[in-house]
Amino acid sequence: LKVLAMTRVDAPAPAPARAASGGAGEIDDVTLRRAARGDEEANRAVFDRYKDRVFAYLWRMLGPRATLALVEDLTQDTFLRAFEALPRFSIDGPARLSTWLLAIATRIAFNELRRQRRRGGGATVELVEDSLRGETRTDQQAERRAIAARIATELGKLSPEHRAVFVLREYHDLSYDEIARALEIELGTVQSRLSRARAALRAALEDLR
Amino acid sequence: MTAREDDRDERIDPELLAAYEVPAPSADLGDRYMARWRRRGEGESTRRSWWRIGAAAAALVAAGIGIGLVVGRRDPSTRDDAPAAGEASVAERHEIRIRGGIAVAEANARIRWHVDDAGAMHVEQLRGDVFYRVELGLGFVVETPAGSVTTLGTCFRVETSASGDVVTVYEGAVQVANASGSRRVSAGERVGASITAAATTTPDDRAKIAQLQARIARLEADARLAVQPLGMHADRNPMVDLTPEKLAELARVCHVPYDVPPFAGSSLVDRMIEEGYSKLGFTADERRAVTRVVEKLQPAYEAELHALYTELTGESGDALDLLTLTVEIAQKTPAADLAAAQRQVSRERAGLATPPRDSGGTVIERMLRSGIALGDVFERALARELPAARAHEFRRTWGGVNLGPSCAGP
Repeated sequence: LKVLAMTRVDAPAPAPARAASGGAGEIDDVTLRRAARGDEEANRAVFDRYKDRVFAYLWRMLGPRATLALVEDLTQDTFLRAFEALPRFSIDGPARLSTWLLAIATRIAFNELRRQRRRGGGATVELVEDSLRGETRTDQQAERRAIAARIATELGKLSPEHRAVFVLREYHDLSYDEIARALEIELGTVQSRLSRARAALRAALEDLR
Repeated sequence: MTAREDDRDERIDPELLAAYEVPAPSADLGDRYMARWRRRGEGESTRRSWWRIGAAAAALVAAGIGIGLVVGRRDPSTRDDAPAAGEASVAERHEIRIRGGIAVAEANARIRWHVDDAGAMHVEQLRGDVFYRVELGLGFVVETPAGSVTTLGTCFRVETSASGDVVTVYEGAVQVANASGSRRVSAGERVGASITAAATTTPDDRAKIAQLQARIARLEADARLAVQPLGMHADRNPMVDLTPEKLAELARVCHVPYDVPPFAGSSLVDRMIEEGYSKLGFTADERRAVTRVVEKLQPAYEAELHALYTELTGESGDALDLLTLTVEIAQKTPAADLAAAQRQVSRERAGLATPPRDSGGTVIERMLRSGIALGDVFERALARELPAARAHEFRRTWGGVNLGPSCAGP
């Protein structure tokens, strides 16, 4: 319920003067190299630059099971793991840092979803302070919230592998190549998973269109 | 972009998808991350302590704050990315994250661990005193010079010394074994084992263990409560004065938040009571009136929660306070039962379903049903001692239980 009271956070960040790997919204190479050498300030700059994107991705990957505490935990895990591996990240290579981070976040999300499955799913709980504040909500807000809940539920019905492809494409605008690299799958697999995910979502959300 | 990526025609309406928004992460997320990053080389767990110490599905939310203690039924400290092998020798008390659980090693303790081919975790406790919390369903063996302790999903402590081991179990059960024999040790039991003798019950009394269990539970509950700034006493308690429309809205997402009177027994509640008094300028007479009502109603509610806890777990829970009992009941309820109870009770509360005639239902259902009535009962009793408006004003300073929604709505 809190979701719709919040601001969307995964909009692309402003592009720096000199972007790593040439991507819009990417951090500059100098900062990235400093971060790879373990510079604390640079590390923070990288985190601040990408945290919203990683958080948004993990939130949607976890779907109805997402809670603020859990997703923040996983976001931190993603960056901690990324910084351990950052010296091996090829700054001059084809991969954008954002795509590389989303690839790490994908593995972390898969692990978490597997862990939840192993434990029988468990009940996820989330705070709903906004809904309890008592302010009157407009019908439009209520409708939008209902749509969001539907999308979250339907996305949650996809397998994690299909969901990842869908979210990376539809919400993060990654190219097919980038998705293939991030998920370590063939280009054809990206296409087929995306196609199936879209078909499932389209059918499930038909009445909302 | 390649031709095949020009998939605008295939894409689902972006405006529709945009409705699925994402909340903003907490403002202090960067600071917390940096703190973890700085600790990364120290072998310390990368989890926040309140997550580490346990899982809970309930939350006591300070009045009016809208934040709370809402945690999942999970223990992220046991995620797969924890180290599968390692060794630690600690000079002072230290928490070590290992695959399948956590180990809190006291000063001078030393452990080594690895995951075997079958996926079971083996910990070699070479010396010292170590507390373990282990995830259910994983093979987890602690080997000591005096024998081995195989866990069956639990929370326990192993103290090694030259004369042997002492194993204390707080939750679940373990199997203690050595060349001389083997025995199962359950929650609340403490056994000693030496290299030459099988495990035998130590003279330690159960009362002491119960106290320790209660202390752990209290610390865990308080830690959860201390997670976020409480910001108590905003203008209103969001769990009070819910309109029929709001109740219907909550029912649609199977959500049953309820306010809880200031029953004594938890440091947080004590604090809430004091802040409520202070905010409203309660006189000594008014405070005494509140105390009288608490003394009148708390024992019955406490007895009811204890009975529910016992029915659910088979344990007495005598040493647990109200908050901990609430958390434990929610935590130990199967997820499906919890979701079903939230659905049923939220609908009853909104007038969309009828409660069972025989006051039946699952334990969690009865706890929720009782919970949603509690605030009114207390307020009515207090209104017999104080002006009704004053009683209601005080009620708005209470906290409450918030398990969050359990369904996605229509």
